[in-house]
Amino acid sequence: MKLKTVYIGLIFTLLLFLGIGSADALGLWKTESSKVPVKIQQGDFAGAYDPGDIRGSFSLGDISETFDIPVEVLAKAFAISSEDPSNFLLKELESLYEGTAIEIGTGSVRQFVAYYTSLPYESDDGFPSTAVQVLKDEGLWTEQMASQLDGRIIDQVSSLSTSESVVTLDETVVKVDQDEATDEEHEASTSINGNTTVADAIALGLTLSIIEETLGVEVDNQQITIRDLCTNNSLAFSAMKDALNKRLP
Amino acid sequence: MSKKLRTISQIGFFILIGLIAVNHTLAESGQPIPLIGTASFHAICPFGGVEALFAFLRYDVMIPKIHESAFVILGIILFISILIGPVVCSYACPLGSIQEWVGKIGRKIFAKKYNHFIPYKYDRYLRYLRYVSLAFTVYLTTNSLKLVFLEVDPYYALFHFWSDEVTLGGLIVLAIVLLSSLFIERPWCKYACPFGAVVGLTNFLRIFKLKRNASTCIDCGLCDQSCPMNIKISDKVTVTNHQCIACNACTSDQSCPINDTVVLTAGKAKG
Repeated sequence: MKLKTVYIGLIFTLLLFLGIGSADALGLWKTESSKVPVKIQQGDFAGAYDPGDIRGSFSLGDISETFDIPVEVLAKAFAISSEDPSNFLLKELESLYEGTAIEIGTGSVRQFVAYYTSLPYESDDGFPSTAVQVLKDEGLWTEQMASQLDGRIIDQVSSLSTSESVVTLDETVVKVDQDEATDEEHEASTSINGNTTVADAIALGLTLSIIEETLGVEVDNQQITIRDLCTNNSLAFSAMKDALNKRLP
Repeated sequence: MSKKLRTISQIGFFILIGLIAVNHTLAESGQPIPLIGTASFHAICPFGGVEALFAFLRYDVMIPKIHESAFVILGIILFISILIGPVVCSYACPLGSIQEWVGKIGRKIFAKKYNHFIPYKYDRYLRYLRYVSLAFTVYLTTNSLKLVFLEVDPYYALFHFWSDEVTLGGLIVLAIVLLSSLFIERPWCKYACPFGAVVGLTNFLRIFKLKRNASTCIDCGLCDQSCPMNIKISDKVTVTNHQCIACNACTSDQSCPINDTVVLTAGKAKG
């Protein structure tokens, strides 16, 4: 069977776009990372989405959809007064709250979501007083939360403002001592987080055997992130991260 | 007509991929062009699928920046290549197209000498360098779990020269490739392209093959002269050369002056 070469371009283009369309229809055409956290594998909360797997690339809209928390509630908790808070990415929080005594970032949102939904998660990050107020308004605030967050509630953040699409801290926010902030930044970069690879953790002072013993898995490639190791082995990243951080020298 | 349609296809894909690259940048600033995809370049790069595949199979992790769509597009292109040859190289690849367009200047300057600067005794071995490029890239990517090829990728540099994501290595390689294109047709494709190495292998098993009917062939050599990859067609019955980019320039539809002598067919060759 002969094929006229005049049809080649057409055949290629048709098959290419037909293939992409079919993959899209089957849900296989994914051009960005999943914005849905993994589910908790074991225990009383098995099957629920894990707040510990919320990532900096998630938007408030993604979290709202997954955890059924209104975007307005999330925006109020973190004092985000953007025109469209549903598109606000969590990774922007760190620059928004730059200079606070204790980092307020993705970990803070994970903690808020965990409190709001009664799911397990413990963070060492700061927690804005606005989020505490939202929990109180919703009748979710407990003594246990107050105890867990002791010394980590950032109550200086009184107002945030937006300038067009850019969200910035208002001048009225009390800035902490610069040296203190620098120390915090240093501390943040010397602990295990979502981007830390096994090699990074070893550079921080852990040994491969400690990492393997803590996670209970054998590490084949030291460039793999601790988060991916946890995900691949159905381990709760937040718990493993805390366990490894405690063993840091 | 076939040649014109191929040029239209090349221009179309060049513009489309360029628009997608620009639109991704625009989308990040909240102002995407309507109706044009906003996927990242890595998400639609079939070679990204090759780079990430082994790490995905071995460690069950996705290389950062690569997404599932890269595997899908790799699968589609391999399927098409097994059917009609690696037409992605000749009809769609923007890096291949721009080399061809720059090469037209070289052809005007050097006439018959163009594309024949490297002696065959060296050239035949240099053609295997792209397998070294492929093996090296996949090995390093699998072990580092990073897109190491990005550091020297001329394809990425071509469509991101304005962004801060472009690497100096990529720009240097791109400049070398474009300059070399003045002397050699598709130098990157011939000697270095790791993705060309992958799809080129489908020439051994493609369903529609290029076949020459020896009984009607007049040995004019026009098929050999038309081949951008310097493949000698005139001494073959079936073209299974790993370097063929399926441009079909050698066929009776294009260069060969005798009807039904060099054809694209799934059947047996005549003669």
